[in-house]
Amino acid sequence: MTELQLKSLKVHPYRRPPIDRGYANQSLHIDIGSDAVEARPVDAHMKEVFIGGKGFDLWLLWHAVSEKTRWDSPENAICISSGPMGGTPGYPGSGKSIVTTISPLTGIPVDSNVGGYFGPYLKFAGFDALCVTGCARGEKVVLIDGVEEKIEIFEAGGLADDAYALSAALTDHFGQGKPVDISVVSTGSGARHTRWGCLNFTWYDSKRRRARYKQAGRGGIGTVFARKGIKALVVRWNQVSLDTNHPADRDALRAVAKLHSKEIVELDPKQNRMAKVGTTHLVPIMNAHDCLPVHNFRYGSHPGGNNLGEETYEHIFDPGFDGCWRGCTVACSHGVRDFVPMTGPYQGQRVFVDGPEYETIAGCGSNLGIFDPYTVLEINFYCDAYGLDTISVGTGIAFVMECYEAGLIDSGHTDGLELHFGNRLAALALLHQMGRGEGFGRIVGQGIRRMKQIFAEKFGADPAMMADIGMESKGLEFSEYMTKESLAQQGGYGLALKGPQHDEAWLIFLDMVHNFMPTFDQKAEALHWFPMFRTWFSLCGLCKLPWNDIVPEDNRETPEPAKVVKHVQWYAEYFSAVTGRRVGPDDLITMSEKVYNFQRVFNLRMGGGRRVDDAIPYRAMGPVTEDEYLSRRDRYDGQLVEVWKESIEGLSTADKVALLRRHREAQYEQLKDAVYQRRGWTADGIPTLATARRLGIDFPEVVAVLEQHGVTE
Amino acid sequence: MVRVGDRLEISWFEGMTVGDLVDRVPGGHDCAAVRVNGRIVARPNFHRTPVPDGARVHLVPMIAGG
Repeated sequence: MTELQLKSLKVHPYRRPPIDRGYANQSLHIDIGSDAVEARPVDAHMKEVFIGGKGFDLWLLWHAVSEKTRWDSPENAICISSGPMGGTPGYPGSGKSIVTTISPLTGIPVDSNVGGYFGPYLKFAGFDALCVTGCARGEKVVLIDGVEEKIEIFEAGGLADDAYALSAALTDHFGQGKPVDISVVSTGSGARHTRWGCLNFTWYDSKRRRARYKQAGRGGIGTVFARKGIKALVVRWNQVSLDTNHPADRDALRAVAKLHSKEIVELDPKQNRMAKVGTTHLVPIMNAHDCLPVHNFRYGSHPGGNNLGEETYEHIFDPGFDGCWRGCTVACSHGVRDFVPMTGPYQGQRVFVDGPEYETIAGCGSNLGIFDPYTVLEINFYCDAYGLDTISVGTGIAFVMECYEAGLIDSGHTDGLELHFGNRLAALALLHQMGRGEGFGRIVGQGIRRMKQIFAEKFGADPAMMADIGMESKGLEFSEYMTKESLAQQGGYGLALKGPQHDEAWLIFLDMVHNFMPTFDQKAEALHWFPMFRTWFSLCGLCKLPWNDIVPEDNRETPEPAKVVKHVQWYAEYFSAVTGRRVGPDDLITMSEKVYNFQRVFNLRMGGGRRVDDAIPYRAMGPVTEDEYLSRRDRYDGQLVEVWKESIEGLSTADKVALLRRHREAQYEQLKDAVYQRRGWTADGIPTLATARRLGIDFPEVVAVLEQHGVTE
Repeated sequence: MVRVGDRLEISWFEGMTVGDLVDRVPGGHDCAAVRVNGRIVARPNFHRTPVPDGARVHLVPMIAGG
């Protein structure tokens, strides 16, 4: 056992309840300021309405905060929950944790779905959800020990600052010779200095004998974690089988788990090959379809893009089983052994890098004009070590680089860093500044929304130009898909509750490639069904990859191939087998609708949640600059003539940019109208009272928020 | 002969492209990419990518991933 400077402040013994049909039936509340520890019951109504995972998180968060709470208020909570199916070892993708808090970027709730063992172990240790409030004076480590039935809070001193070293030391210390029994949640130094802090969740890789990492990346949850003075959350649990979750119908669970698992084993090697290459297969596909972000989303492809795809990374990844939960046959969490960084505190040392995945490659590679796979690895490694979200870092630095190249800022503002696209050493230098909390990195780490304000006020940069090219909505940076040619995906990003993350809807190919939804009503239907079904995974502790990334060979013969209905049916059977609640596919959508609408009302309560908040920058809709227009001139000229019936004879490029913009902005507003109507919301994007009643979320506090905002029907 | 999936066989001809192949495969146009002998070919490249005789091809639907 490693000797660490941990001073025990409080030991709270507890009696671990038996798990029943996927639930422990209690939540754990810790005030990290006062060290108060309390278990509270999870009742039947909470399970009926909020299911688990993100639903439980939001319900607990709602009660922890008020409309005046800001991200750094002591009462802001970090909530972590898996869900009723979380921790099932035989069903692919069943080990997820969902984390929520009030975001330092957006001021509204953010949720992040992450792998690793923490959520399942937390439940098996006796708690469906964890809710941490308060702020510590120093730094603290919390141990939830399900084996010895105690919660212990430690004062931490002298612990490593970076996530890799910290988690390794804590796994060793608390594992008592069985490191696989431990999962650690931590962040890094960058979370203290920026609003882009992420959380690293560990899973133990027995073959490689090391703690591995998955990230709850979006929305700055790590920044809240650091602000609270939480050095780490540690959970200990020691037995996992199909019975640990005590499913209602073990035979039915085993049968459906076997079907899905077997199908993935058969089809993944033929389709995406995620067990070999993770999500890197997406890079060449996106590049070919003009959907890979290049140079701050200006362009969608680049000849160097294929250097960053599966053919490169398959040879770099360390081969072996890489499932972030036990028995997952998708096993996509690959990593690189013995990588030697060329910069920073680990310069010249051999390290293990967890990743990269598609989003990191696109964000920290092509979007920055960097097409060297090893530089992407280095940025990936340091983002994790510093506890920073690779998506916001990538999109944020891309914005800075475009500002620099456009002359909106110069080297006098950037501490001399020449932040041209493709300058990989400058990108790394900026990242290290964020990790250390120094120089220009401190400004960049505030996020694009605040950068726009700072650049305008202090550097005299053009606010209108920055509004067009700053790829954020609601304060959150866009994830890494080009949306200019997919109106539905513009909605997928702009109408997403927490901000522009693709986990709510990824409709680019259905819309742009397959043209499955040519009308506004069809797009609105898709922007109802897909966000609802995707939400359901985060209620249950699941990963969505097994649903529609690997597709049955007879899928196209089904009535609605886009939904992969065979798998939807399996998920309904899975839910029924675990919880004992007999449900069909439509019931899964209704479950999500309750939580989804509740979250929208929560946004409203916190000062967002209206039509104006669903705005997206014009860069997401169309070409901002003449260069962009000219790079795809045939496409845009053709659309003006054929789709919009415009005469473009004699028009300058600037005129055509403006004309196209009028049409595209108008159609985005039309889309909002159609989606709001489909979802049962007002024209201002607020759920109606009738919608709240239909879904059974018309609690007095919800109705009060709606009425305060003028919704009385 | 080109083998598509586990069951279908399509006659190969000189100069055959992936575009020619998917024209002959039920549902071929519903896929955003295919794997030809394991290698990804995305739809915009279908008509400029040759298919070798004896190739093993699998459709990659990519319907609502991401």
